[in-house]
Amino acid sequence: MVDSSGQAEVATPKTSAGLFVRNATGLVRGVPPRSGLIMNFIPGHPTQTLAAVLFFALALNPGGNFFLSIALVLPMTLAFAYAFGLLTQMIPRSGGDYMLVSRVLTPAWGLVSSFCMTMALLLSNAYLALAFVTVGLGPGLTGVGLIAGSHTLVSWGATVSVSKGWELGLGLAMFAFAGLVQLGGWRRLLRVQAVLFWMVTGSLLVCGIIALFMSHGSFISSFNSFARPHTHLANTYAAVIAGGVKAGINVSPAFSFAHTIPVIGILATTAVYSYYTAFVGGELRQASTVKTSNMMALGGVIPLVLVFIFGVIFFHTFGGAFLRAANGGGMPSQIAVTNTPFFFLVAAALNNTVFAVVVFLCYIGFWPLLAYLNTLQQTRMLFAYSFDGILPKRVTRLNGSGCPYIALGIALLASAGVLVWAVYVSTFFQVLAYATLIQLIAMMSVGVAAVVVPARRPELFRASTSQIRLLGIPLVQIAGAAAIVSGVLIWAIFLHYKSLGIAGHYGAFAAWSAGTVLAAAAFYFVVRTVRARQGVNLAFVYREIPPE
Amino acid sequence: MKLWSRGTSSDGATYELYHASDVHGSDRCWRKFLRAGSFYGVDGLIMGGDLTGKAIVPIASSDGAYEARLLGETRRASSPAELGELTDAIRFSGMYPWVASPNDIARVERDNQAQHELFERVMLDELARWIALADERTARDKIDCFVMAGNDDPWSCDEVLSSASLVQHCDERVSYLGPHEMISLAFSNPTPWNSPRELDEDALYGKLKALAEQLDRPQTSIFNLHVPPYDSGLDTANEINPDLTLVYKGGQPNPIPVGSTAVREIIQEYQPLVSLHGHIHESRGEARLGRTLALNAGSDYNSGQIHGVIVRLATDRVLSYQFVVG
Repeated sequence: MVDSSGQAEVATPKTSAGLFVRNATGLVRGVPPRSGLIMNFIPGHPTQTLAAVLFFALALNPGGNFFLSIALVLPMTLAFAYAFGLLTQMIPRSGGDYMLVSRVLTPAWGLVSSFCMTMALLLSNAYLALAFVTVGLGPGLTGVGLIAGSHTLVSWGATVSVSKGWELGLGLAMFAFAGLVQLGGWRRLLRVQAVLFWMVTGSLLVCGIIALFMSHGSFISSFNSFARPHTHLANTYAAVIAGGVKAGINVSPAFSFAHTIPVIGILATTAVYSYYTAFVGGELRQASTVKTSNMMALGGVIPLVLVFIFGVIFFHTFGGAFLRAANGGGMPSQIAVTNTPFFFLVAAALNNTVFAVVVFLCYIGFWPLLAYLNTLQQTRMLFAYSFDGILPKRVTRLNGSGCPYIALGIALLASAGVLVWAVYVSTFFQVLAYATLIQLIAMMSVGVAAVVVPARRPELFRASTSQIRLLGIPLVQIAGAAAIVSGVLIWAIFLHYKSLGIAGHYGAFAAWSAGTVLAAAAFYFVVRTVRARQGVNLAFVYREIPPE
Repeated sequence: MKLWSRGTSSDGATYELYHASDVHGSDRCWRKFLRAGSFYGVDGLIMGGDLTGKAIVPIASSDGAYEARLLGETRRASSPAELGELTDAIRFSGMYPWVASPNDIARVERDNQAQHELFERVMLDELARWIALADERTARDKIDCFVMAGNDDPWSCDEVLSSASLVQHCDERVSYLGPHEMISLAFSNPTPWNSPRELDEDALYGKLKALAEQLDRPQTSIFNLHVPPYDSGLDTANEINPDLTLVYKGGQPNPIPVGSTAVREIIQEYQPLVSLHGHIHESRGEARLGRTLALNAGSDYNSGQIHGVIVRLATDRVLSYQFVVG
């Protein structure tokens, strides 16, 4: 197209989807919608919900209806997904709640929100490290050891599950893995993410399919055959249920709505976080389209549907009374595996060592997978801080693969610090409860931003693809209001029900959450003052230029 | 560790500039650019190229009803006010609205030459409107305003830019910003899009060298070069095949440096105070090439938000810089 004078004509126009377009250089973003969907799916992955949370919740809350709790959590999931998603469509930049809240509400509020989100994800990382050892590796080693007849593995499993040293060491190793994955840049990261995701999901699918085609009677028979050499009982299955009853578990409870509510709270610890692509909004392909919020919604709904389906299968094949009893302390000590995860029961029924090893290895991949995703959030948030001038520019330095290695180092060090607290000072459920409730402060802040965005940023709203209305009301406002209501409900559940980890720690929790909020506000005002002395007006970062 | 640098000029003289680039036809971004001078309180505005849009959205008009496809959605209007909202939304997204009958739209759709002529007419009309507005605002705000085209802008734009009375068309010449000289160049190295202003690296270096040789004090100068320096971190984009599809490696897009080696070479040779770039929208950031601070403000024009950078200069050094999104 270059002519003899060295000049070129406009490139030949084309027609595309109702547009006339011409050839021109363009932006191609790195994260395709498929990878975005996986990112949003991971926090609520059914493996975690089924293995680490749900059945334990049922044992603690007899009569709580598992299916009703899923139905009640679903609108909450959608509310948070659409509040984050529709705002991200309007402001497609990396940084998540910090970016959304600071641009729509106020900078200080944005800092408060992101400090809460970061604190929650540091706590969440600590929880994941504990879960990796106590409900992943420990039970896995014990389970495989039992099936393989290896006393060594059983002993390792028992040791790992109760040793604070192992919890800390293996948790730190998991953080190191999360860091190494990210150091390789987006390509390696998305590849590892896809591999781990399909390993974890594949193991669930295989276990689910096997359980689906195994009758209840056949499971009982197979389980008893597996257990007999260990328990020397003819009917261990019945003994488990009897053991549960003896331990005070109501194994066949009548429906209780009061006990369904705490199950909602526990389910909410995994099921309402399908907005992770908000943190990489600036790297997401087609971020300005409704695909962004739909991928968040799907990332929340599909796991819940799978929890429902696999829950039905496992309840049917294993038996509800058995599951409640097994998770409530009814398993004979010779075959007791913490949490009695589904993969152990399927592998035990098959009594196949190779299958047990493969499924176990796939199953434990979940925790490093989510830990990397949490760390990714923190690096993107630190990156956004640095771009805004809140942190030094050097925090944005990238290695050769495009990874912000200084931000990553800060995030991992902070995670390690919180892990030490989690291992030596707190309890498992306390960490989970703190993480959930502090994160909800940030999530409700996004809800507030979603409610007010049509009024505070009217032109941004009008020009966006986020103008879908229900009964004449913008969906973003409905989602925002529903997110606030959901957040308040989950807070109320956690504060009311003693079994959820907050009881006895109200003072400590208040100190954690208030400290986080105050630290954020103080940090913002100090930085703003320092930067003003350097001739940099931090307020410019957050203000929209009024167009002529 | 020194957290943030604080600087004052040894002779007390400072010049503050606001640089943005790649607005690609976004009327809203252009208006924000013009407002940025008074909003940020700077002395000069620099627009680093790629002014024109990439797409026309035909609005089918029939019996007082209007219909268009915008960002994957069908938008309808049935009154002049609603039509105004629709055209604003199209302009906001960096595209040009074109109201026509369904028959005319169908005719242009089938005819490449007609589309080409339509683009030229619509782009130049819009650009002329922009420049008239810029002259008016520059006079009102008493501020320096420098504008150049980018590699994506057709050559016919230059005539419109040169017709400005107060706005300075700075491409391929030395301009003056307070005590600083500035050279500007719209050309890029070759791209897969075969855009209007591309040169191979040798020819690009030749043009840059000829420009740099005109500077009296290169060490206090500003380089306003549309394309960023090669492998500087300001030029990372996903690799594209000749047919404009993404190159995938291991199932993922492959980010590579796509900047200009000639630009890198000329910066390293002359070491200006600061070099300002655009072109690669996703590579917002800063880099150091010797003593030169290289900046790419990035672009997200179709969100209606303008990405820019405020640079505060002393006579002999950069005092501070701040990325902003307005």
